[in-house]
Amino acid sequence: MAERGRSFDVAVLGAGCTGAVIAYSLARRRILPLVIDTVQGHLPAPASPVASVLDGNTPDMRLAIRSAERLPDLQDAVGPFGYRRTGGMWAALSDADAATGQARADAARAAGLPVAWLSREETLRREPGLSELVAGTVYCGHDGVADASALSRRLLAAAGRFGGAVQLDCGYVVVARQPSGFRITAGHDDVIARRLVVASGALLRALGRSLGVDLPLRIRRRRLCVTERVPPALRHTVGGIRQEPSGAFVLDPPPVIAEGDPKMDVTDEVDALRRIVTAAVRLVPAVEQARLLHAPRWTFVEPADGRPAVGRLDDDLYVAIAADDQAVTLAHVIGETTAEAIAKHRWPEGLEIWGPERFTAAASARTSAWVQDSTQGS
Amino acid sequence: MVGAGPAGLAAADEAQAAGARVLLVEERAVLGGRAVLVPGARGLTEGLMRGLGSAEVWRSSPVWSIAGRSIAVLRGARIETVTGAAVILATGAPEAISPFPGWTLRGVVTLEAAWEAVRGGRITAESGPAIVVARAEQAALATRLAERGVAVTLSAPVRPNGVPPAIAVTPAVPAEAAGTDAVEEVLLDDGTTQPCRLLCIDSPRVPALELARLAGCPCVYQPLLGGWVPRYDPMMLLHGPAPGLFIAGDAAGVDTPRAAAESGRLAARAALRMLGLLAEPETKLAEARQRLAAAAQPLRQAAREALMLGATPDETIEAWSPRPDTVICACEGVQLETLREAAVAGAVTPDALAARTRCGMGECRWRRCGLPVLRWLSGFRQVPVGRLPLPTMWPPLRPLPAAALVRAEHPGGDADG
Repeated sequence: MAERGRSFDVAVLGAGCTGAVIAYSLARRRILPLVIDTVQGHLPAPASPVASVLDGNTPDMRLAIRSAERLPDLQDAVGPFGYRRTGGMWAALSDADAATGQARADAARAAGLPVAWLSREETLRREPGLSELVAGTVYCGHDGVADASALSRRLLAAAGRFGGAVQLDCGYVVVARQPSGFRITAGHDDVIARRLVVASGALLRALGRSLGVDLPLRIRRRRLCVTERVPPALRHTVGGIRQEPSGAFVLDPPPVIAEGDPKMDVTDEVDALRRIVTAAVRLVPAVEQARLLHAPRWTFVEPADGRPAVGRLDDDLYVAIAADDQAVTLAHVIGETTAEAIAKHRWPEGLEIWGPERFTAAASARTSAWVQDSTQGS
Repeated sequence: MVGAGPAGLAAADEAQAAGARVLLVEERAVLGGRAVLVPGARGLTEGLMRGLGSAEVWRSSPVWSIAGRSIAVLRGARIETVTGAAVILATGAPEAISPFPGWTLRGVVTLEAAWEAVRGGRITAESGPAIVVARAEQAALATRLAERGVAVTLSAPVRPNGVPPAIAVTPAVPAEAAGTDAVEEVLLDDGTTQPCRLLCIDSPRVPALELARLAGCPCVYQPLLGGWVPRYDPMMLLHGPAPGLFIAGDAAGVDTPRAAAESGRLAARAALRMLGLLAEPETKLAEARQRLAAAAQPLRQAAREALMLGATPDETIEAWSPRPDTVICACEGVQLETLREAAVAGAVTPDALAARTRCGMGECRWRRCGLPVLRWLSGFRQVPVGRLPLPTMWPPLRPLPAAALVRAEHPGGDADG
């Protein structure tokens, strides 16, 4: 627990995967971090794919796979967080889909990624549980799943062993910029940190608003469907459907952009579940035999273009948000990058693809006052 | 009306007498709810069932989601959505066994389940030997079991009146059930062991509030009423985001079947007034309230009144902590020890425990383990039960066959039954 008036090198707002890996990477570099979150643990987001090969552009894919390659090492260093490689498949259900998929696989291969196009026969040989409708799949052996909340827990514990501090469940956070650094009031604590890393989309939004800044963020809505245990039918993650070791199917469709508040009508709910389950059954017929046990939904905030954002708004203020789909995947690279930037006072080379420019450019266009204030201080 | 116990039946009766179109949705195949357990209450529900008249009744139709005043129902293999001008939740209060070592074995049942087996003719001499843990007014179960040739031991402080001498009575209570798959023997707290194939346990009834919570209604802890109950006003109107949502019966606080029926009538009249189907002189809300007060147990009625006036939650810190190897979440087989480890590592809310241990994530969705987990967590954190956060509710509240969702995608195939 942080003490009143104590000062830290860096405060990290947000104790999700990204915040935790930043804290861990900083602590390993002997930079004392304090991690703050308003809640105690996050909602059950049991696992997320570690390498989404078809969503996003090619450079993101490369980073994702680079990160996935490091996850086993990270697991050795901080303890198990449920990482396992499952391989991932993007299934085509029509000849037109197949042509698109094949082109994508070719492009990915040309970029040096371990991605292959599997014919219908080869797909069904590897995945006998798939529907006969399948026309082929794009396959990436690096895909896997991990327990996001376990990962952040392990990382925070490891950061703690290096002297980092964690303050969770503090209910609210107020940040004020002072000449000596950021004064952070979180729950009962009041601390000073020289630098601030905002690694929580929701907090970033609130923080931006409190400073009169409109950050380029959007709200998305996500819904998982989890079935009861059924006999094993699926070995890979196929088009957002996977089967846990326990036997439960997890149907994990891509999130949708939120449009206002949900209506006070249950038909919306039924329609949403119907769409997800119908799509899943079309791909994996065994899903039809299972009963749905729960379908948690939640909203989250991410950069408006849906890609991870790592940025430096000025010398002391950093932003790091992995898009929700890729939290586990990219947390590792994002965390290392941010920690490196803070430790060395400069942005590392080679990350221009999703580096600071995009985000700071978008933000600074509307944040002149904020940025000006901080440049005066530095 | 959701739930066809005394409250739902009485509300349906009241509403259709005033000319409202009524739909009564019941999860079970039989109407009458749990009132069948209480001596003398069967007449009440049977009388109400005869008066159902024109009301549409859906049996074996669990409600699995709610938003505003519309509900989603699993009706046979189909999914139906219904929107009511007013919705009365009368979901009752099922018995919940307080976990002890071995309670998840087959053959360890609530009295309610035992009665159902007796009434369904599923009890034979081979069902025994049985141990029945019951208060005096429930001792009739032991007699009924004995009539069917089962060797019965009744666990009660004194021999209740009317229990035949063939039934052994012991003041000892079961401490542990043992067996490989089904219960084979029971260890009593006096140190003796008895062979047993059927252990019937009188368990506290806990208001079923999943629907009210999913609808977004705030809840408050009041042990006198059985645990958490949603907040509602003197007309049984639920506090919360949706107007026109009422609560009735044991779901609003465990009480007598007659009080449940009267609260159903009160809720129905309030709903009818809201809908303009009953003009002011005929609503007789004050009279309905008086009848509820007369039928209720005085202490519970007082607790309910206090709740309506906005009383703060009960501040009791529980000290309940069974043996570490006791299974708490029966669906996922989570032991207390696992919960404790997770809580020590920082998972000190039901949601965090669910994410870490899968507790409450199984088929019953916290219905059995919710209160035990919160009671234990209260002692662990030294926080009053009523101040702990409740687990988040997600639809579907009942297991939903994927086939039903897929089939519903193509409407127009088979005509409406």
